[in-house]
Amino acid sequence: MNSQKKQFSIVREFNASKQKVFNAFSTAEAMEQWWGPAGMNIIVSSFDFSPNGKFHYKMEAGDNVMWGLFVFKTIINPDVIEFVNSFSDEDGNIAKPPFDMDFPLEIFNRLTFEETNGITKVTLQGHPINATDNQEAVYHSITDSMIEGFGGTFDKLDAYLLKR
Amino acid sequence: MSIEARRDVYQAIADPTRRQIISLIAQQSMNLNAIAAQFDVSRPAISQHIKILTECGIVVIKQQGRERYCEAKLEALNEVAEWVEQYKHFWNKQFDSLEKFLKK
Repeated sequence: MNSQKKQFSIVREFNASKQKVFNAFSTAEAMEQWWGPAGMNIIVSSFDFSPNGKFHYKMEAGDNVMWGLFVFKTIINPDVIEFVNSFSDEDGNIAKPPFDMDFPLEIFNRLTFEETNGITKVTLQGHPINATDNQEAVYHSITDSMIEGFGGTFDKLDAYLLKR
Repeated sequence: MSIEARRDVYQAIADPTRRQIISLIAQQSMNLNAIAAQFDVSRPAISQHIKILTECGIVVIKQQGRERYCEAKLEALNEVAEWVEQYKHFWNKQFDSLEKFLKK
């Protein structure tokens, strides 16, 4: 892995087959039912589940309207889905997030699906792409300082346990 | 030139040497000489970086006997961790929603 692109990851297990979990990402009908921030309705504007295909959607809650965009990259049915996620405008152009935070414009996401005894483990790994120097600095300082900080703690624990 | 310098966490971590200093003292407090010994740049340069880090609230200098130790205040980095946390939170919610969908 490229050390310049340290990832953060989230893991979740689902009580369903890998194909079923994968399929939840692969059609507009499915995504419309579960994707998007809580309390917001998703209206799919376009959906093309193929490499470089786009999923462009509107998120609505009363007067509050936001647009989101996926650009799918690698797709390996039913093991891997890669996509770049961003906020967007009505026309499907990448746009700044609708909140006041130094949030990267685009985040690359890789979902992997692994099934054991009918339980599917989904791992999401993400990292910002085309981020500003500031965002990159922020991102790296977080991962560096946390990894090294925790690394140091575990080293001490190891040393302590060896003495016992 | 009298441009007021920006002093916040972003400024603190914008420089690679300062990021290394933070990583170094995140594990244990160190005095200036010990920190400077880890770098190829001059002691005054390190001293200047540490001054910026203290102004940004990431490093605190503590007097211990004759020595002055630099201690990292990593809580200050929480501000910058915010978007990562936000994004993780978003995904956890998405997975909650996916779980409900799969149960249908």
